[in-house]
Amino acid sequence: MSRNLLARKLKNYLMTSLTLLTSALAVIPLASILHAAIVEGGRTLLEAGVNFLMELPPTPLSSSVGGVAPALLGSVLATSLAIIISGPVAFLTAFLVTEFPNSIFSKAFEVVVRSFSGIPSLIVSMFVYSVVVVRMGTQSLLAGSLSLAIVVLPYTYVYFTSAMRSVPETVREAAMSLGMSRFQALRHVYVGVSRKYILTGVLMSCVRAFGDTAPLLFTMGFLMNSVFAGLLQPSNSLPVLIFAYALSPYEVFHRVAWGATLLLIVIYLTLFSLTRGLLRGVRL
Amino acid sequence: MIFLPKSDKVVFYSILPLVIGVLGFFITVGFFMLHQALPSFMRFGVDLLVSSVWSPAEDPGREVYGLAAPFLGSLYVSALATLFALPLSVALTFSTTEILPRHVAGLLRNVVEVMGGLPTVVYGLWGSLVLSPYLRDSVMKPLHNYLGFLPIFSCRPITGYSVLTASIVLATATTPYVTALLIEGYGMIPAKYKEGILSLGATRYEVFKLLLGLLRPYVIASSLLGFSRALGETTIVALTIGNAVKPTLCIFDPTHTIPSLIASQFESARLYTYALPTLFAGGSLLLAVSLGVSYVGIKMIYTWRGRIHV
Repeated sequence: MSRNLLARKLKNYLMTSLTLLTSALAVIPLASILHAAIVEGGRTLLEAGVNFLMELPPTPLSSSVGGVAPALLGSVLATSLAIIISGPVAFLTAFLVTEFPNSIFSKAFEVVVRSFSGIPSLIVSMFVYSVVVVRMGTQSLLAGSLSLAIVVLPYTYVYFTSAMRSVPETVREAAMSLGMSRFQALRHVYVGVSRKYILTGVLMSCVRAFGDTAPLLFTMGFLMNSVFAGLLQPSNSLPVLIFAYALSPYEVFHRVAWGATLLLIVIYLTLFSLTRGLLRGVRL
Repeated sequence: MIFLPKSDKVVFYSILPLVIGVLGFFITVGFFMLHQALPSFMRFGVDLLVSSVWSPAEDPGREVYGLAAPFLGSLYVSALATLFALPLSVALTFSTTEILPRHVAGLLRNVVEVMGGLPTVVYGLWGSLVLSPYLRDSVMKPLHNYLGFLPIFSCRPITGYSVLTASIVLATATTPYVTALLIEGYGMIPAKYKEGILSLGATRYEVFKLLLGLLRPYVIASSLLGFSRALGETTIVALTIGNAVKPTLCIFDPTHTIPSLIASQFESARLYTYALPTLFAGGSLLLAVSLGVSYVGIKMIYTWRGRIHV
């Protein structure tokens, strides 16, 4: 009996140690990524200084690393535009679906949008290319933003529905018992109660839009010779810049890619911890 | 809808067009892909799925394309990635739910979440510039030298860009997603089961093992969802797979997946008559498979959830 117990305890010990080791293995890549980004990217950033944020990318044979200004500005603009386009649509549809869940449209919307959030975002890029870029004759900031907006919409929608559902039933009933219409309740009560969730949803959508490469691949263009060319002209973005430079054989492009990666990671971590800080405050 | 007060009806009917519009738009995207792919389906028929050539030509009559290699490559790479990601995810689930003390577990969960949201292009760059030279020298070459008689290790590793590299990086990026699903599922198991097992004096490992048995359909479903996500991943694969149009079983060979083929050929494809439709055919195929697999996965999760809460 006691030998049996000993054997079981030993097995427990072995398996938990093995599990912890495997877990460590799973997060080692993150450590390696951060290490590489800080060492390689740090070198680039130190060499270029603040100009990395304000200058144009280098030519393949130039000795200085230049900067990523077109990509940084393009990313910021495209992300903001995408959120401005998809946010209101996601908000209104989420409101309708959570308030009138029994309507056939709500049910269909729920199924279609949720499955759309799982499809490859490259497909959206191909779609926007054929519908917008071909017609306009050029890749553009607008096409890129539209593509991002389509990709982000299902995510924003899911965050907003959970924001709407976070409104406690008691609060909902109280609003109704005052004789408010649904729209008044939304305007005066729900938005206030769930504002942190809504803000979190917006920020998480920004995180997603800022880092996504595939939707911009065929739509955004690759602007290198000026910082900003206009809404209907090609632009650039950090993820696509990193992608293209990683594929190129030139040493100087790899260095720029590392610098841009460090920048991207810093922006990502900032946005991510912002949402964390927000969510911590949510206790009703 | 009939019993709603008038003001609510106004709200409903004023937002409804938007809902129908978005709904219609998403369905249109699916049909649009098929529509664009049609010329290629008509021209090459079954050959599109059986042969693997990519030879564009000025004269449309001499263009020949086949998607067999990238399609099999997609399935192969995603399957391997899921296979690598599953044990990691199960281990992370066990660690964070049963083994580690609460705040350490919370920290680990945050780290995993950071990994899950990290832009994929960062994984891609790391995979292509850091991991692939390392894998070539310290994993692929020894494996090839000592176990080269096995078909999967039989080819000589040359550049480091290979099926193996792509699937390892893909696994790293998929693990957080599968882990999040598993932790959610584990939390859904009613407390009575755990209490029952604990009251019999089970060790932590035994508790987890028994509960994992209960969770099995959910684990399979999460793997399917992870597989579906890996299938559509573009950036990581395009940077690490080496881009070669030939089917292969050996994991040290470069090959293509459908997304990586699209990413690398799309720009030049518009110069030829059938190249672009063929890429759209690949896209439709990808869309169909990934929607199908996710549908099965989500269905399994719903069934399981209904069964566990009786």
